[in-house]
Amino acid sequence: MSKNGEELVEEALRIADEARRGGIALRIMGGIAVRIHMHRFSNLYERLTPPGGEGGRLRDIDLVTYKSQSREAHKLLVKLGYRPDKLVMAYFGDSRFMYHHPENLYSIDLFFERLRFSHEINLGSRGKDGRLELDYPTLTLADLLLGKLQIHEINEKDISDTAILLREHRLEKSDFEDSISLQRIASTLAQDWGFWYDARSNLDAVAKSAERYLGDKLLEKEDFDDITDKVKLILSYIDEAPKSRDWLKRDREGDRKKWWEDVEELVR
Amino acid sequence: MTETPFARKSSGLIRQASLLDTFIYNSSASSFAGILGSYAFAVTFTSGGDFLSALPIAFISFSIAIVYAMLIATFPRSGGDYVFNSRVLHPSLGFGFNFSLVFWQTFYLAFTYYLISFSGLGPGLHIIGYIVNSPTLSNIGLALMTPWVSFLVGSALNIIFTLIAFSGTKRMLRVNNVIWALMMVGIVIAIGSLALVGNQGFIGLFNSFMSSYGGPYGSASNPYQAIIDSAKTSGYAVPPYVFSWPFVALATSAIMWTFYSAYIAGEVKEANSVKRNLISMAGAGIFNVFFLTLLFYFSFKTFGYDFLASISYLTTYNPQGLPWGNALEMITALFGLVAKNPILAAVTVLGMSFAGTIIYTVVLYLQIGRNIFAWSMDRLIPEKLSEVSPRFHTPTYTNLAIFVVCELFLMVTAAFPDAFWTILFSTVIGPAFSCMFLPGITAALLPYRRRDIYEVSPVKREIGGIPVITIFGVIAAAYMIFMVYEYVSWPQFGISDPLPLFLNFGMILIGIALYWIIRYIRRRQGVDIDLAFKEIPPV
Repeated sequence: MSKNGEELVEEALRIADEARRGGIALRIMGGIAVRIHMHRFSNLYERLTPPGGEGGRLRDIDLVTYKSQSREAHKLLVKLGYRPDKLVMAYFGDSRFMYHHPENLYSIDLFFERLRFSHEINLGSRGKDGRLELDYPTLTLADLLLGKLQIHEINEKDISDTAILLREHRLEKSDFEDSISLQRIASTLAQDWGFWYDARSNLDAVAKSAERYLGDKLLEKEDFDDITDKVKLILSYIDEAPKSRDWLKRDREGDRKKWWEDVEELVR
Repeated sequence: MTETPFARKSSGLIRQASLLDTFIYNSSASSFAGILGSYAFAVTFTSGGDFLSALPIAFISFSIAIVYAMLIATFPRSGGDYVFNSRVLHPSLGFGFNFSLVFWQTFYLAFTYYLISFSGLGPGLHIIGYIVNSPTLSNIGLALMTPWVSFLVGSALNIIFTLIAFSGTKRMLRVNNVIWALMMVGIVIAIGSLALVGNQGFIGLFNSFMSSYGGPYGSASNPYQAIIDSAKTSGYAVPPYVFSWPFVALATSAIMWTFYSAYIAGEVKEANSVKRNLISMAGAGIFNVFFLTLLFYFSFKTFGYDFLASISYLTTYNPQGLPWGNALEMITALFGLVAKNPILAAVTVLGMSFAGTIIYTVVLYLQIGRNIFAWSMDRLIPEKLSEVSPRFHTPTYTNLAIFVVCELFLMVTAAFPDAFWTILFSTVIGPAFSCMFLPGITAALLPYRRRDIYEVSPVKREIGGIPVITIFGVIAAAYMIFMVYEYVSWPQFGISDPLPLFLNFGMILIGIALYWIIRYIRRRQGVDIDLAFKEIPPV
C-alpha cells in the first residue's frame, strides 16, 4: 500500500515548508522534486510515466539538508510523527537517516550534504559553499539532473525523468531560476572521471530513449528535437570543460578500472 | 508491514567497509606476539616443540571461516552469529551462545585495555630502554607494568575508544587499519632481521646484551649456553622437535578467528558475495598463517630451538636473572635484539607488543556493540540500548554500557590481577565454542530448516546431492568439538576442572535461560518477541 503520488508531493512540500519556518535548509530531491518542477509539460510527465501510474514512480520522499542541521531536521521529522530507522541511523548515519511513516505507508530518506550513490554530488556546507539556498523547495535543477546522471545502471524511470527535466527547463551557463546550470554540471563532472563517464552514457541513453519514445508516439517531434539538442549541448559542454588533475590521471586508466561505487538496496 | 525478507526497496545504500578494510579487520583477529607468547608457555609441557607441523591440521579450522563466509553471504546483516543462529535454529540458541560470546568478549576487551600497558607498552618500553641503554625508559616501562598504572592507562584507552566509537564505524575501521599496519611493520622487520642475523649473529647479540645486563647469566662466559644449561639443571628436558597435539589447538586458536567482519556485515560492501567473504575471511587467515610460518621458521632457525624452549621454560617458571618477567616480554625482547638498530628495534618491539595487544580493541568493540544493538532491536534487552543519537549517529547507550562494564572489569582486574590472568588463560575455548560451533550446525541445517532462504541464496551449490554449506557446517562443528576435547584433555590449559569448565560453557546455559525469562516477562508486558525472529533485520 502506498500513498498516491500527489499526496506524497503535498507531504514533501509540507515538510519543506515546516523546515523553512524552523530555519532549516531542507530541500526535496529525487522523483518528487522532478514532479514539482513539471509545469508546462505535465502531460509529457503523464505520458512517460511507466505502467503502474505515478504510485510506481513516486514511492518515497527524498530530502537533503546540511550535516550541521541534521539534528534539527531529525527533530522536525520526529515531531511530524515519522519513526526513525535506528539501523540506518546507526550504520549509515554519517551520510543519511531514514524515517518511516507511522503506518508504514512510505519512507523518507534524509541525506546530508554529500549525496553518495554511484558517484558523489557535493552540495557544500552551510554558510560556506552550500547550494541548498539556491532553490526552494527542491534542490537546484542542475543538482537534480546530476542526481539522475550519477546513476551507474540507469533505469527507464530515471531516463524518462531526465528527458522530462530537459524538456521542461532551459539550459543556462549558471544557476538561474527555472533553468539548468551547465556550469554546475560541467564543473562537477570535470572533477570525477567516473561520474563524467556514466553521465555521458546516461545522456546517450536518454537520446536513444527519446528516439524510441518518438517512435512510440509518446513524444512529439518538437519535444524530441528539444531533448536531443539539449543532450548534445550538455555533452559538448562537459567535454570541453577544463578537467581537474585527478580527472586527467584517472582518464589514463579508462574503463579498465571500476569507476563507480556499488549501490545496494536496503532490504526491509 | 509484511514484506518478503529479500524484497528490493528503498533508495540505495553505500556500505562503508571495503574489501581491504574487512581483510585487515579479519586479519586483526590474530596477534602474532600473543601466539609466540603462547608457544613459549606451551613448549614447557608438550611432548614435541614443532609448531609448524601442527599448521596443516589447523588448516581444517578454515572451515569455520568458510561457514561464516557462506552464512554472511546469505544473511548480509550486522550481528553475525546471533542473526543467523536465531533465525535458522531457534532464538534461545542464537541468544544463549551469543550472550556467552558477548560476555567473554567484553571481559577480553577490558583485559585488552589493561594489557596494553601491562604487557604491551610496559614491556615494550622496558626492553627498548635496555636496548638503547636508557634506564629512565626502562623504569617507565616497569611502572606501566604495575596493576594500578595499567588500570589508569586502560581506563584512558576505554575513554578514547568509546569516543572513537561515537565518531562512527568508518573511523573505527581507519583506526584499526593504522594499528594493523603498525603491527605488520613490526612483524616484517622482525622476520627480516631474523633472516639476516642468523643463529651465530644472534648468539653474539644475546651474549653481549646479557653481559651488559649482568646477573648470573650475564656474568657467564656464554650466556646463551648458560640459559640452555640452567633450564636443564632446573629439570626441564627440551621436547624433541616433533609434532605434538597441543600445538594444533594453539595454532587453531591463532588462525580460526578471522571472521569478525561478520558482525558488521550490514556495513560491508557486497557482503552478499561468497567470494568476497572468502577473500576477507579465509584469505585473512591464509595471510596470517603465511606470516606466522615465516616468524616461527626464522625464530627456530635464528634463536635455536633448544635455546627458545629453554628460555621459555626459565621465563615461565624461574625468571630470576632474566630482564623480563613473562613470555610475551621475552619474545618481543629477542626480536628487538635482532633488529640491532635502536629505531628498528623500537618499531619492532612496539609493533609486536603495543600494536600487537591493542589490535584486538576495535574488532572486539564492534562485535560487542553490534550484538547488543541487535538484541535490543529484537527487544530482548531494553530498547534504550538501541537508541541512536542523531548527533553522533551511534547507539549512545550501547556505547556507554560497554564503557561502564569494561570499566568495572578493569577495576576488578587491577584489584585481582592474578585471578584474571588465570581466567584469561582458562577461558580460551568457551568463547570460541560460543561463536564457532553453532554456526556449523546452522550451516549444516540451513538447506533443511530454511529451504526458502537457501533456494534463493548465493550458497546454493551441491556435491552429490549434499549442499556444500552442509558439508562445511558439519566439518566446522566437528572440528570445534575436537578443539574442546584438545583443550579439556591437556590439564596445563587449565580448563579441565569444574569451575573453568563452567566458566567456559556455563554462560551459554545462562544465556539460554535468560532468553526464556525475558520472553516470559515480555509476554506479560504484551510484547511477542517471537515476531522479531521471523524476520531478517534490514541491515
